[in-house]
Amino acid sequence: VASLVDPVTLSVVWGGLVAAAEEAASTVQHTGYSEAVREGRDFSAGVFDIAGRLLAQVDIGPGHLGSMPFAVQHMLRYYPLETLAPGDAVYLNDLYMGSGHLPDVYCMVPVFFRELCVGFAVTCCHHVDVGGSAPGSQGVEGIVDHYQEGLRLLPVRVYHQGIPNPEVLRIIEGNVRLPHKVLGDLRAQRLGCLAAAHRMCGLLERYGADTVTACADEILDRSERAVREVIARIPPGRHEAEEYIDDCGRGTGPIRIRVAVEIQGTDLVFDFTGTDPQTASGLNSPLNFTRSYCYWVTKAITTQHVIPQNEGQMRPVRLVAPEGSFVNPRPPGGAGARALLNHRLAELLLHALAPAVPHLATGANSSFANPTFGGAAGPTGTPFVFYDVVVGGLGGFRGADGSECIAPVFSVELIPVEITEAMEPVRIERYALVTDSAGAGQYRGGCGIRKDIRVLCDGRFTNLADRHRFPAWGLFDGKPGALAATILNPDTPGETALHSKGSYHVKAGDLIRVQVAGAGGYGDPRLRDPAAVRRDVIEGLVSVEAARREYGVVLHPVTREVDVDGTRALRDRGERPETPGP
Amino acid sequence: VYRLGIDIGGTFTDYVLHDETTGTLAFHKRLTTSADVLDGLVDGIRGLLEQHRVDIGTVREIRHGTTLGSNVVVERKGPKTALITTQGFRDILEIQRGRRYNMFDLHIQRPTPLVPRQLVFEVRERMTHTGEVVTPVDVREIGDVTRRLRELEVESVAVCFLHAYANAAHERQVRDLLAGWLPNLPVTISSDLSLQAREYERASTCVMNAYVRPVIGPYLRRLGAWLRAAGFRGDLFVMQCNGGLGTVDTVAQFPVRMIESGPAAGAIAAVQYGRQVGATDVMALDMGGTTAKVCFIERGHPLMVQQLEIARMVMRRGSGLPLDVPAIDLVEIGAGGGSIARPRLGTIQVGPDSAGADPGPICYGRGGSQPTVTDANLVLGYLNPRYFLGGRMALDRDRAVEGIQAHVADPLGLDVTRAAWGIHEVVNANMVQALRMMSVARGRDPRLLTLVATGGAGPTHACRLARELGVGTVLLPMGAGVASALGLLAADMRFDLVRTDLRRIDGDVPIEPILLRLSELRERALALAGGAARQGEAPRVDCVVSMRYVGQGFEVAVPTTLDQLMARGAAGLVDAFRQVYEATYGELVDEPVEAVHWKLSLVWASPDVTLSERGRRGAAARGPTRPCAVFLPEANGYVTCPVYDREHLPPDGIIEGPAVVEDAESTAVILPGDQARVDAYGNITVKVRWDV
Repeated sequence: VASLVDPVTLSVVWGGLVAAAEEAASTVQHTGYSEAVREGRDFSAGVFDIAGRLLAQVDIGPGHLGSMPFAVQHMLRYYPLETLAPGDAVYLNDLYMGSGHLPDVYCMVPVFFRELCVGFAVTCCHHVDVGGSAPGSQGVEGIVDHYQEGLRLLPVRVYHQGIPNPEVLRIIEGNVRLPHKVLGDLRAQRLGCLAAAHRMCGLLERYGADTVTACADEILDRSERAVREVIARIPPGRHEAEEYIDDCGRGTGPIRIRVAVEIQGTDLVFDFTGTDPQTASGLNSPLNFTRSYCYWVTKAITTQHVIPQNEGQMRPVRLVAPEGSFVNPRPPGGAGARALLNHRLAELLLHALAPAVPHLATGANSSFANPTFGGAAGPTGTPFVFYDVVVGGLGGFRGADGSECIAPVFSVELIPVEITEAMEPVRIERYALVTDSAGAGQYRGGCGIRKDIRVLCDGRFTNLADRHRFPAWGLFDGKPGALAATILNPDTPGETALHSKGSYHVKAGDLIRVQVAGAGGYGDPRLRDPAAVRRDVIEGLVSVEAARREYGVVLHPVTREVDVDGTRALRDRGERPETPGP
Repeated sequence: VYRLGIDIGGTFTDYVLHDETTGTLAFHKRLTTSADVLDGLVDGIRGLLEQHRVDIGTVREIRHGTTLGSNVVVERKGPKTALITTQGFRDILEIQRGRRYNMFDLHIQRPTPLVPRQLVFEVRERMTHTGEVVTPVDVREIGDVTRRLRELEVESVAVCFLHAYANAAHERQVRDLLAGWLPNLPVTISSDLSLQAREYERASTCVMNAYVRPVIGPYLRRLGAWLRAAGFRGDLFVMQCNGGLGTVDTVAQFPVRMIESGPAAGAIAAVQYGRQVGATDVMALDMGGTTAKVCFIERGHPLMVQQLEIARMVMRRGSGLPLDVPAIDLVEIGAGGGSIARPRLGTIQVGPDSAGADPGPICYGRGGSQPTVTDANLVLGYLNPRYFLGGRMALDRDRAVEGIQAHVADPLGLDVTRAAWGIHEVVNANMVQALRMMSVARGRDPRLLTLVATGGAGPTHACRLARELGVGTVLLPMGAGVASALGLLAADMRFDLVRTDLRRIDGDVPIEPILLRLSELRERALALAGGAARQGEAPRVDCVVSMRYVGQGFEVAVPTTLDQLMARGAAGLVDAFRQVYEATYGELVDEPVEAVHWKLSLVWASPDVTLSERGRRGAAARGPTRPCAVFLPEANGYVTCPVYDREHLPPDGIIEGPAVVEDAESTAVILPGDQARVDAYGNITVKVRWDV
């Protein structure tokens, strides 16, 4: 079918829509107030047409991939199109309509061009706190429903015709721990939407509404075709995998997630039948969040970054997720801590697909840690919430070792120590790769990371971590990485192991060590090039003993030269390593 | 009196000699010698001056640009470099910022640090973010580290401590201790380069400086010594990433400031050319022998970035090594005349590696055996084998044909012309992608832009690229082949220094302490800039304050001057902030404001360099010299078309494509349907029929 628009116009309009979303994102980051937004880039942005179809979403915030497409439709149920006016902004953080936990707030702005609504600009931000029982609103323990997790906004028009509604803002102000940051980020979100709206109007001005609409159809159809063309080349089949989350708090057991991924023609069906029921805690994966990672994996094995996310690329994806299960909980189930699950879902889906796309498969990743420390600091008792992200390594894959310090799926940036210390009552005393933590393999996993945080005032520490019990598995005879741990005052008489989801009172001067797991290896470690083992030893990532024990490589204790004969003898003698993983 | 601009690229070295008395310019281009860059440079200077009978003693200034620094980093050819950092932060270079520069890449890798983990040493010391000492420097530990540095034969060392931007005392103390114990070891401290918070970026800047310093310093010293011995009594200046020139002393000490200096000069040239023809929104393409550089010029100014990235792994922000260095925003890709073509998975791949000058393309006959873009352009008839570098270098077309046949055509089952065209097309596609990133991907319509094509190979490819992009106007400027050297002559002298100094700003804040801090910063900038070299000439001082609402993490840039601050006080600064903020984001809030970074730029303006009308030699107008056969896919074969000598083009002449326009430094190809107009300066403006 011949295209209705010429290729140059189509590429400019497409580029312009993506640029509009990117400009929204950049504005949010540059005008935002919380570290999570400013430094961590924990937000996303998208632009929609009048039908509520997602035309472009920025390449950040994969956890919002599953909810962004539906956000506008939810808003329209409460505020039909004819009731919206230029200058309106509607906010929403309901976890079931939104991205799966209350800290993520959507801001939606109708875009008007020559007095007609022509589309929507949307941003979604992770707010540092939305109230509830735990500072940061991401607690796991003691949560039985989302009413304990903070303030919940069904779609609410906060700005009408450009004027903010002070009553609504006052309600928000009264229910969150850091109103200055939250209100600042809410403003930043709207400014981001306005920036995108401005760009969209520029395109309409130049090309006219008909052309832009024709381009939108083309963009979505071409994107869908691109995904289907790649899926068509994957052998049809049904592949299963399962994974265990440590638990959902002290005294609870492992949580099983099971998936079968079916390649049906050019469709991908993700079937979660057999997954454990939802938990009575802050750890569940609402459907929109589960969906996010089905979309993420689909893109990772098809169009990747080449085509920015839009509604067309999601058309080939279907989900089967039993209601009331861990991956599709019923209201009012809580989910404040669902961020913990992001790459666990992604790597589970990829694990299932490994036989279909073995060249892409990797060992399991380190689980990240997302602890928060909150309280009141200084003589004036200024409230604070220190929200941190500690990222470990990626699993090894065919051809290379897993990298360290890049998050497996999400794109948050690590908050610099110098910024953290300037903003929060903590001092970071060590931030380091952990020796002998990487899962051994022909291609090893990335190392675990350890961060020692000295707290400078009393407060509440709420942990959010995993892989304290189940290590990151290896693939194809690769070995699992070291377990994660959270330790209070390590190497002192008062040393205490903290639970991965526990919430604790800590005192000024306490040291909290957050250590994330090592990532899983790929392939038999005895096939690893001895020179690579030697390099790891010289760099201090692997000890001489581990080189021998894990890799069967004998190194001279002083020169660290490879003892070729000793290595051959040891490797020949060695038995095949056990197959790891759950 | 004369001024001389010299730009060393990976393949060619370009020279422009400016006669300040007559306003004429002389161009020269020759291969870069890869064994010892300086040998070729010296020969080139000597040859050019002899040719024009100029005594080196009458040259007032030499301005120099080079990619030597980034080559050292990209090729990891620097010396053994160590890092000394705060206890607990050995992995400062490994942990980086965790940026997932590609959200969907399952095999993403972070850039490998320049200093391996075993050469990072921790010492006990600690500051707070306000610059208070928590733990003093453990001097005994520095002694231990010194011994290790000596044992390991470390050649350069970087020192980066946490919060050194707030208080540099510990870094300076360690530098002084090391200077006492290891007097020959160059020591770089982070607080001399960047006074900004964010430890990884500052450490990366510091380490890269240490890494390139032992290469750049000796190079500049040798160049200076040779010039003096040859009788040069003027000043030598070096181009920096910010598009301004610096003194040799500054640059030798802080070589990161010039790490990408050649491309910056090319961008300055494009600004100049654009101004000459009245084009202010410009896409600049500088295609040399090794790489192509793309830059966007908006309203007559190149886009700047506050942070530069070197050695990107992929064409995405976040995949390279960051530098806290203000720089012209450039995208560089491995698409030059020397880019090597090879078959891959049944397709043709071009670059990113280049044959460079040595061995160079096959047709150079210098031992190159792998076909390149230049070989393809020769086979396609775009280049004249007898007029390359003005006829000073004969190109061997037969060998180019054989090479493309053997290495590309045969493996892929193509005839040699199709293979050559394929190479030309693939390298074009790579450049189109980069140009799209700069225009379409930022929502800018290429149809409204002017493409300014420079570099030896730029004019050969430009009209075809314009067609792909839908660009309406292409400028093929006079001196395109030596544009970077020309840009050197046009650039101002400039030194930027940024300090993080967090202050609440409102109408009640007294301005005196701020002015005092700024004059300290100015003194420090003057000292670092080697102000002595321009004695008697006070620079213009531009000040840009980065400001935000209290609680935000990013700032807007508020331009001001010391005079304005003095006259209008802090209230004036707040007003200026509100104006910029509203213009940027559309609305204001009633919240307190703070200033974060204070950037001072010392600027010594350069005299204007415009080509005098028909300024080169006043050559007589002449029609096409001879016909030649060029391959045009539109005609599915070779088409005979006229060849013009740019020297002899009549002003206001019109050329209908297809046609070839030659000069000694580059060759322009004008396509069928395109119409070119020659202006009084010898610049060619092409109206492109992109809709054909």
